[in-house]
Amino acid sequence: MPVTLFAPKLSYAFFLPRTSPLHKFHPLTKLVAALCIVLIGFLASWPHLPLLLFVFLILPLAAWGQLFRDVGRATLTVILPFVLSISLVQGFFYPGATHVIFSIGPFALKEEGLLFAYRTLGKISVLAGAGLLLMFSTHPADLMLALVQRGFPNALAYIVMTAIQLLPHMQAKATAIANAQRARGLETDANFWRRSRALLALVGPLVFSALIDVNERALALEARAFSAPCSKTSLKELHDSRGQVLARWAMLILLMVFIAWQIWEL
Amino acid sequence: MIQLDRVTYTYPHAKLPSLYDISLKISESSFLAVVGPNGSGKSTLCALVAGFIPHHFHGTLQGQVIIDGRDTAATPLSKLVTPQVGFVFQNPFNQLSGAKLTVREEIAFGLENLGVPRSEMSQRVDRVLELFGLTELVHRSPYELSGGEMQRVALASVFVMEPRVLVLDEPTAQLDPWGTRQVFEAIRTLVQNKRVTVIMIEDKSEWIAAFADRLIALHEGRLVLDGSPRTVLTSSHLDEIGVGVSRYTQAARSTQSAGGWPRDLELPATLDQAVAGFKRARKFYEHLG
Repeated sequence: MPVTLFAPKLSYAFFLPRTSPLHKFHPLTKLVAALCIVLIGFLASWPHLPLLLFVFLILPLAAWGQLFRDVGRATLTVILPFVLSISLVQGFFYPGATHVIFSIGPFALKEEGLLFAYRTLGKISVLAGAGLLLMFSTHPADLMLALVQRGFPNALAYIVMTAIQLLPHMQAKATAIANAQRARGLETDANFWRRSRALLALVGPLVFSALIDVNERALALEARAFSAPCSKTSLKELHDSRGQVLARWAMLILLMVFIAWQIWEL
Repeated sequence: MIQLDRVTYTYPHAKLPSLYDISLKISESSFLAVVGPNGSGKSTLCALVAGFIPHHFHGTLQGQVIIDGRDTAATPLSKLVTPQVGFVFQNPFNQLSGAKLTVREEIAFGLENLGVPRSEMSQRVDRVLELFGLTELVHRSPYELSGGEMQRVALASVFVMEPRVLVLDEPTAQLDPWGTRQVFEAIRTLVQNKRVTVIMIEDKSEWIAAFADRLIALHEGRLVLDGSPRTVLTSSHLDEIGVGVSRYTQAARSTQSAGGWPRDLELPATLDQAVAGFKRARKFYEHLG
C-alpha cells in the first residue's frame, strides 16, 4: 500500500499562524493568562463580570493577535446553541423564581431565571473565548514542549501530539477502507440498519491495522531511544523573558487575591 | 564485529524454531544482504541483532549474539538500540515519531531523547540532512513526503544517533526504482565513508548484486547460502528455496546450457555482468569464425 495515498494536508489542531506579538509570547504566559481569565469569570459574584471580560479583554486580545474574526466566529458557534436552550429552560423553569415578566398559559418567564441564563452564557463565552484564543495563537508542539520543560510527563505529551498528528491519517484510512468496500459492493449509504452493518465492516480492518501498527511503532520508538533513562533536551527553543516570568507570577497573585476577596465577601 | 554463535530461537507459543543453529561473523564496515522466502527467519535475524530478541520478544534463545564484545542478552536494550544498533523498518510511516511537525525536528527526536545538547544536536542534524539529500525538505511535514523521501527521513533519523551497526528490514519494499536508488546510495555512503556495518533484508537482487559486499540466504530458519552476491544470486540452490533469480542470470543460464557461456566465468547477477559475459562469448565465436 503506497504510503503517499493517505497523506492528507494536515491542520495542526486549531493553530492559526499569524505574525502578531501575541503569537510570539511564551506558551506558559498565554496558558496562565487564559487560566486566570476563565477562573475569574467563573468565580465572580458580580453577574456582569464574565461578559465584560469577554468584550473588553478577550476580544481586544484577539484583535491584537489578528484573530478577532476567528475567535469571534468560533465563540459564537459554541455559544449560540446554548443561548436559546438555556434562556428558555432557565427563564421558564428556574426553581424558586418569583418575578414574572410575562406568561403564556401555565408557563411564566421569570427574571431570576433569565439572570441565571445570562450569567451562565457569560461564563461559557469566557471559557470558549479564552480557550480558543489560546489554541488559535499557540502551536500545540510549543505548548507541549513548555509543559514538558515544567515537569509535565513526556509520555503524556507524546500521546497528545501523536493524537493531533495521526487522527487525520486515521480518518483518511477509514475513508480509504470505506471506498474500497463500497467498490466491492458494500452498501454504505442505505437505511440505518444497512449503514450500521457497513460500520462494522469498516471498524474491523481499521482497528486491526491500527493494532498491528502499534507493535511496530513501539519498536520504532525504542529504536529512537524514547525510553532512554536520561533527561531529554529539545531542538526547538522557546523564547521567554524576565518580563513574561514576572507577568505570569503577577497574574497568579492577582488570581489568588481575587479568590481570597470572593471568599471573604461570602 | 558482530558474531552469532550457534543461535537457535523460538518465538513464544511457536512449535518450531524461527532460526536454527545459525553461526555467522559479520566484519566491521561491510554491507551484508539477507534473502530468503517469507517465513525463512530474515526478520527474526534482524530483531536478534538489534536486541529486540530477547528484550522485547521473549521465547527461548540458545546461543549468543555478540556485538563488539558485548553479549546482547546481557546488555540492556537502551544501550543497544540505538546507541549501538540502528533499526529501520519496512514501513517508514510507522517509524516516524508522530510527534514532530517538520523533517528537521523529526530527525532530532532521537537526539532529544538521548539528552544531546542543543548546539551539538543542531550540527549533527544538519550534517545528516546533507548526507541524505534532505536539506530542501527541512520545513516540510514528515507525513507530506513521497515514499522515498519518507524512508530517507526514517534512515536519517536513525543514523543521526550514530549507531555502529544499521539493521534494515526491507527498507525499499514500498519504493519505486528512483526511491530504491536513493536509499541504496545513501547506504553505500555510510558503509564506505562512515565505517558503518549494514545488515539489510532485500529481495531486489539486482540492487544487492550492485551494492552489497556479501549475501546470505535463509531457508526455514537455516543459513543455506553464504558468499559474494554474484555467487549466491546465481546459485542453483536459490530456486530450490523459492527465491527467484534475476532475468540476467536466467538468460545466461539458458545460454550456458546451450554451451554458449564462457566456461571460466560465473553467471551474471546484474546487467553489467551479463553484458560483459555475452560480449566475451561473442568475441570467442567471432574468433572461431
